Amino acid sequence: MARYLRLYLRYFGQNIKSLMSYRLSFLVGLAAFMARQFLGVAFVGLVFAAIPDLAGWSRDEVLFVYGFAQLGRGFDHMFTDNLWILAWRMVARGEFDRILVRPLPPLFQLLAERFQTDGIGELVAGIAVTAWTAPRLDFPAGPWSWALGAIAVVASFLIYTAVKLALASLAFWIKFSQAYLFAAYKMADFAMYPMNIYPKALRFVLSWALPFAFTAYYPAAALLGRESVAFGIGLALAVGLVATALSLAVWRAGLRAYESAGS
Amino acid sequence: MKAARYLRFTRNSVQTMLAYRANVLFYIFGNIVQTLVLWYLWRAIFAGAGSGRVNGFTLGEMAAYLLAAVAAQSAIGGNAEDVISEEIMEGSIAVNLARPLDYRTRIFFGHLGASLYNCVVVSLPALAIGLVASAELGGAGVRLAAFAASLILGFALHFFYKFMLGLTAILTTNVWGVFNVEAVVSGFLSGALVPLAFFPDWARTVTGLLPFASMVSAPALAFAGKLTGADLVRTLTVQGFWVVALALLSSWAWNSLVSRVSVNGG
Amino acid sequence: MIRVRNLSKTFVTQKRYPGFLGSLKGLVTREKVRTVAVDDVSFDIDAGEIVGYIGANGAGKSTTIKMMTGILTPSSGRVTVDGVVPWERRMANAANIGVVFGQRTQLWWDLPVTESLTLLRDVYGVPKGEYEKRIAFLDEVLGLSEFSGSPVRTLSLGQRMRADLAASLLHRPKVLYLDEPTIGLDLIVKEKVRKAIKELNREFGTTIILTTHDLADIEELCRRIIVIDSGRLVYDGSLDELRAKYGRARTVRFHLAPGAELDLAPLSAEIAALDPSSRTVMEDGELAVTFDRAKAGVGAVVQKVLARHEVLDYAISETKIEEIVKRIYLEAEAGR
Repeated sequence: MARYLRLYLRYFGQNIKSLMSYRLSFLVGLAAFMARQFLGVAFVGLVFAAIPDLAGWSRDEVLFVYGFAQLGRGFDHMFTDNLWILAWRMVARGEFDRILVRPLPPLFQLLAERFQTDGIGELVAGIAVTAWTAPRLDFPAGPWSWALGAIAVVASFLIYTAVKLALASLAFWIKFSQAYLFAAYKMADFAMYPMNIYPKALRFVLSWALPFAFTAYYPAAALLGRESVAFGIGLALAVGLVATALSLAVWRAGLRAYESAGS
Repeated sequence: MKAARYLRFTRNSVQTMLAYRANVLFYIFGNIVQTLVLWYLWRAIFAGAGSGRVNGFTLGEMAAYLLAAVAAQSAIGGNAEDVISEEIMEGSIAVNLARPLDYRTRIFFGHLGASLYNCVVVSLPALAIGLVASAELGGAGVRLAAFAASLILGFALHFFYKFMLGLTAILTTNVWGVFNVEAVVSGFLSGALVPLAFFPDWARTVTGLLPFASMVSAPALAFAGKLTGADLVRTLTVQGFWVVALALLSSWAWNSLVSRVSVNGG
Repeated sequence: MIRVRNLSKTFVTQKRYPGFLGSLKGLVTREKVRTVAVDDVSFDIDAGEIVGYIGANGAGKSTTIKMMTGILTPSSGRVTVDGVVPWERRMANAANIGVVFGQRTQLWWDLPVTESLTLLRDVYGVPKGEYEKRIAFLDEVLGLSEFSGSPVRTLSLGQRMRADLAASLLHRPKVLYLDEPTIGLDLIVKEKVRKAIKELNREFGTTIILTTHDLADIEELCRRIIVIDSGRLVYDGSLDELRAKYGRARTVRFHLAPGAELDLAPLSAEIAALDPSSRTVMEDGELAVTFDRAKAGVGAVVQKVLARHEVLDYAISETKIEEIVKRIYLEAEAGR
């Protein structure tokens, strides 16, 4: 364990060094994701200028959910971004070969090889929006609120990564799978708004098939006292762990099916 | 101009999209999802507003607006920026510059192919649903004609814009970041997410000075029946102005950057 | 060191149709195509050998190597490398082997070479003191210090290859796989790379498996070669034996007088009457006849040609290894 942590930090250091040769690109990426979050907030702001509440949710509450959604997503974006590259070209071009001839677990190498600073933009925006709205909503309600919040962020991180890992692993069979990832990430957009504006069937899918509802809405609702802690946070963590286990199984099957590229 | 030589690129680009149809369909699915998120959100917003109108829109007009915005966004979509940036990053642009074809024209015909494909797969179904959803507004023929006229101008100015966007690959390696921020900003400023009528006055002044409103908002408003008579003529004139302005601007950008392309790509 | 038994690999791909109508057709049909890339291949390689693994494009070379390195799982058959089944215990196998793919670098594109090397040092857990010693040796053989401070993306092909070789050798692998190690290099750099490979094998007894298109690599490095064609093993033996078997072959090249009418078919038939395995072809504007010297005398062949055509000049050469390999392929084709 300590060895892997040390190695991760070594990879991380090299990542930062590579970044330094692309400083402009680093800033562009950071700006891109900050801008995205800013406009998301602006959207909510514009809409609430015209209406008093959205299906029983105040502007601050909606923003709290929105900000909370960015936290797990930001971590996921920072630490597991190489899965996009896997889905996009690593399998198709046989670039995955080099990972298989090194004496480290393939998934560890894959994740360690890329640290995506763009995710910092999401994280910063998420923290800002959550921190700005929290005091107006009587959060934290008690000393446990912060701990519960942290658990919920971990659960959210796990769910995002599990979905990404499972869909990216499809590339081992079909060469390119980034379109599936793209579609799934669009589904995650549903999770940024209160679930009760959606019809039942959609809520079901978002809770139990692609469980993005557990990345933000349910945990945030629990933190605001609208859902029970057991459901909003306990179940979110359980869903995160189950999803991770399932996606690891897909990943392992994918490794066996990997066909490299060319002759 | 030997049109046939260029039409080959249109055909190639349709063919490529057919070859990757599974991918394309999932991208389309992603856009459908986005539209659904917006639709449910607007429905909840109208339900919460109490009165039947929000910022001058009825729910029916809003549905027509949103679907027409999706249709317009897809129909003008194309792939110019992806093709250009990829050629620049791979260096293959140097070879393509050496061909006896005008580079921008070639890119245009490829772009057209991708747009036609999107038109068939996304825009036509979206418009059909939009027509049903907005049947109560009446005057479907007139609205469609106004939409088409505005869309063609929007397509033209959007192409020049995307052409310039692709050239940013010469300036930064993180094109992915640039395209991402561009997609979000232009999605917002073009009125694809929220009609510009929802913007505060100062923001509307800003969007009035930028070309984004001419890309999506203009045709979508025309389809929702919110642009008639003098308003329509004025909007079409503004769009025409942007076509000319962006064409000139993209020529200038191309001429001043093309020398750097040959150096990098050599 | 390496045992390969009845190794086979079949790929299943979806059929694609050419042209515009073809891509429309692809929408509705889903025809699967099975390609046998490697077909029942067996061999053993002892510790310390340098073996040339050769075959035409698509013959199945890379696929075999990828199974031996643990990248691919075979459809059937078995491989052990130093007692380890590569695809079952990838990490254990990876610690034993070094791999260089000529066309793709395994280094970090944006980092200076030394940074890549120190990162790999940590990945393979090479102690610091030992690392210094190995780098000193690799520097001596490969001349790393010339470019070790430059990012990989700025290196020339030859430098990159040398850096990749160094990276694959840091952990002193027992087996080294080299996939086209000299592809695209100029003659001087090729020489350097070959010298380094020989040096490594001598110094550490590293077992080396080499695929290449450049038969000069084989002549300089390998005592043994394995030839694969359409996935099947067609020759496995020493290079000397191969020369002895096919080395009686001679090639005579005739420079024909300009304007002379050449009717290849009857000439070819006449020479074939002497030696059925002969080849009579036009190459680079010259008439080249390759034949077995034990069956058709050089004099007889020359006479046949002179009787039919005006010749300005001719030259006799021993057959090159290229020609021998071509003949093995042809025989393998004919045997199918």
